[in-house]
Amino acid sequence: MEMEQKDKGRHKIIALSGELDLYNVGKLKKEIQPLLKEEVSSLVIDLTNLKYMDSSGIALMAHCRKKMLEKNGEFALMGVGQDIINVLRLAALEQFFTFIESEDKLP
Amino acid sequence: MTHIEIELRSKDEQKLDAIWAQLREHLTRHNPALPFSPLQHVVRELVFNSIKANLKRIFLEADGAAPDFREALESFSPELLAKAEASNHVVRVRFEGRAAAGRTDAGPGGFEVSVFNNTEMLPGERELVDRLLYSDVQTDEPSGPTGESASGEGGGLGLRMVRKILQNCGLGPEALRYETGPLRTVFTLRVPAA
Repeated sequence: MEMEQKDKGRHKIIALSGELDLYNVGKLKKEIQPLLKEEVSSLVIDLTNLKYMDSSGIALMAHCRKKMLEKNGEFALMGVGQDIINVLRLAALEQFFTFIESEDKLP
Repeated sequence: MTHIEIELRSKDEQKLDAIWAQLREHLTRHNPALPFSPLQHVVRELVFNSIKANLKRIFLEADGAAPDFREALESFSPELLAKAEASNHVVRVRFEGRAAAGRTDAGPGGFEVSVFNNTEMLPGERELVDRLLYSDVQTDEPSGPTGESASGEGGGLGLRMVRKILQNCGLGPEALRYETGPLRTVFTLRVPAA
């Protein structure tokens, strides 16, 4: 899995590519953890190029959402493909997330 | 009959490719109504669960005291991976495909994928697995929206998803069984022919 960070306005965007699973979820969490504590008001995970996410990845997304909301921030998933939507649906977590189609749709 | 057995000490997608190829072939030949990707997801979740169980044992053996395993796992230190590579803890994935004329527990043309690890489930873990896989009183959120348990070691989100996938495929609880005993836990996915 590869990841890239960038800022767009008030949004911190983390773009993931490849596969997110048990074997690299820790690496991503290490990258994200500081952002959850910093003055980041909006965290957006761009999944446009992510091919696969297992339950470890989903749990991390849910954790990030929880932490952002606890500090009155925003959390969204961007560019989510049908496969990952299906996985979120299976986890009964689809309704918990805010989805954004693409970067130009960011508020 | 097709029989494949692979050994994994860590994630090795190339080895798993052999299983995926056979799974795809069997679905095509014997049960084309079943989708490949969701069942592949089931097997991957079972494989990762087993690798995680082995890593947990290695971590406990190495450090003795009850650790915050989630943190240890998520840090995925080179030392822990090296211990896993050097240990005798192996996850085996066994695929047994059946010829259409054959007769097995999985039925003619059915197949089974079994995932073995070197650990025995603790009583609390068995209760969780039984609830997640077989309880009629299953809620959508047995452990909260993060899928994490109070212990911080995971609340079975993966198995919850596995059950839902199997339900969506029209497969009942009998499609997945597990056995656990000294130094051995095995999950077996059984998919019948159409």
